[in-house]
Amino acid sequence: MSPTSDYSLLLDAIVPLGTCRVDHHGWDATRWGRTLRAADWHRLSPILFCYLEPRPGVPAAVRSALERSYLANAARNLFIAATSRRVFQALADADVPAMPLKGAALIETIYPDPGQREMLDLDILVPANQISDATAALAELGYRAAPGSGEAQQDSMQLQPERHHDLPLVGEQQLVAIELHRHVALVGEGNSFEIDGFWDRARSASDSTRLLPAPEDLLLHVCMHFTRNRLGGSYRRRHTGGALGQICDIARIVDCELLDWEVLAHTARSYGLGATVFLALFAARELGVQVPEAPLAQLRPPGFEPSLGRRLVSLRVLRDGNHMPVRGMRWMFAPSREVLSRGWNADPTATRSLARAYMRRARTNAPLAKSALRRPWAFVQDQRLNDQIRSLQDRA
Amino acid sequence: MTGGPELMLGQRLRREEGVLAQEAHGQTVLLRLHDGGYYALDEVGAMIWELCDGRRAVAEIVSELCAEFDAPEATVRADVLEFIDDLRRERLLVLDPD
Repeated sequence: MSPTSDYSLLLDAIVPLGTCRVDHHGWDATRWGRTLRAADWHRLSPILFCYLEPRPGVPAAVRSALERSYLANAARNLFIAATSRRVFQALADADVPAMPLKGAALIETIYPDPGQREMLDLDILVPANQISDATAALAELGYRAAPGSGEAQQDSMQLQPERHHDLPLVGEQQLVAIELHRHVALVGEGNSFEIDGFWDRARSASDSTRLLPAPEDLLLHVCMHFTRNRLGGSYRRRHTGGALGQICDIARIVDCELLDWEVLAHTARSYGLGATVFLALFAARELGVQVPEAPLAQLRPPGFEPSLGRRLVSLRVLRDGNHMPVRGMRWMFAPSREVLSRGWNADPTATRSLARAYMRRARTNAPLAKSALRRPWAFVQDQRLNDQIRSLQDRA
Repeated sequence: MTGGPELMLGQRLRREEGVLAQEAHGQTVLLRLHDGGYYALDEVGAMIWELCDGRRAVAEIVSELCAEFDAPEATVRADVLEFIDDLRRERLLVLDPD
């Protein structure tokens, strides 16, 4: 697969090959503009800055825009790191075992320069039976549940109560949200996923306030997010950004961590996540990440065709912008009573309340519906890809 | 506008509480925790920031920079005073009362 040159530069920044995929010298403003938009969408502006900083041929305005992104991100991550230290200390003081997940775990393990990795919030895994202790410990620091709205809230609520995370907690300044996770899987995702194994395999961090996911679990979790996000997001995130950012995470884990691929393949399969992890690793390998053949062969779901994996890469990875909703007509036009009551504050027993919630939701989703109706073929193509991926996951 | 009373060469400065610093790709990012304001310092700025440790007087900082960069003292002194004044105005440095 040969990506377009806009993405080639991003790929050079995250998965360098022996030679550059593209020569950026002489690019005009339009082309740089496209690249900056793509970098922003894929959450790679800070890394692109570090990649281009020593290289000639970059217009001053481009360099300056990327530098601003990088420095803003470094400052934000500095703030999150300070928050993280206070939070983990509070949890340790309350005798609640805790483990950073996602960005917080990745920054601690595979990003020596934290300014390079964009992070939206602070995700922390705690034992399910200590979630209320953890919430109480964070309340002491001033963190309270953030009032959600619309399907952002509904998305959290649809998670099994005994799994995943509660509503985000925010401090008075509301600068960073903390999500306390009971589990790392969503409803229907890895149905045989025992979170105890995640704890058992965890390793110690540099201080005793927290654990860190095992390298294989770090990769498993990134792969889960990659595939989940490529299937579509919430009303808010639609086709979510950050795909190449996730490929960068995979590349860095493969590069920096001592992985036991047998353990990864065994764990993914035993959790019912073989196809999910396979698709992420296949996409990463297509884009140049050095994923060995053996684990891919072990995880490859029956009936998988490379053309499907390549379509996933071209339609869902090497793209930017909110181009298409991927949840389906039924999700857009016929939401369930539960969605309206949980996500849009409707009284499920009152028709008028449900109708008002339906209208609020319809107004919010109107841009999505319009874009689907404008590009019916792309919509069908999107739906078909989702169906094929779900079918692979079911078979695995 | 300055960051307070005029700075004297014998005075000491220390970093304001609640300001975090981190090296970031050749620069140093300062973050004021209480409002999220952040600043990027180049190599020389970062060195002055490091030297403002509450123990060194401004005159000592100037001397150290003169030795490091082999520059005329009058120029360095003027630049350091201006820079430190900026950092005080931004509530990143404070005069050490001791």
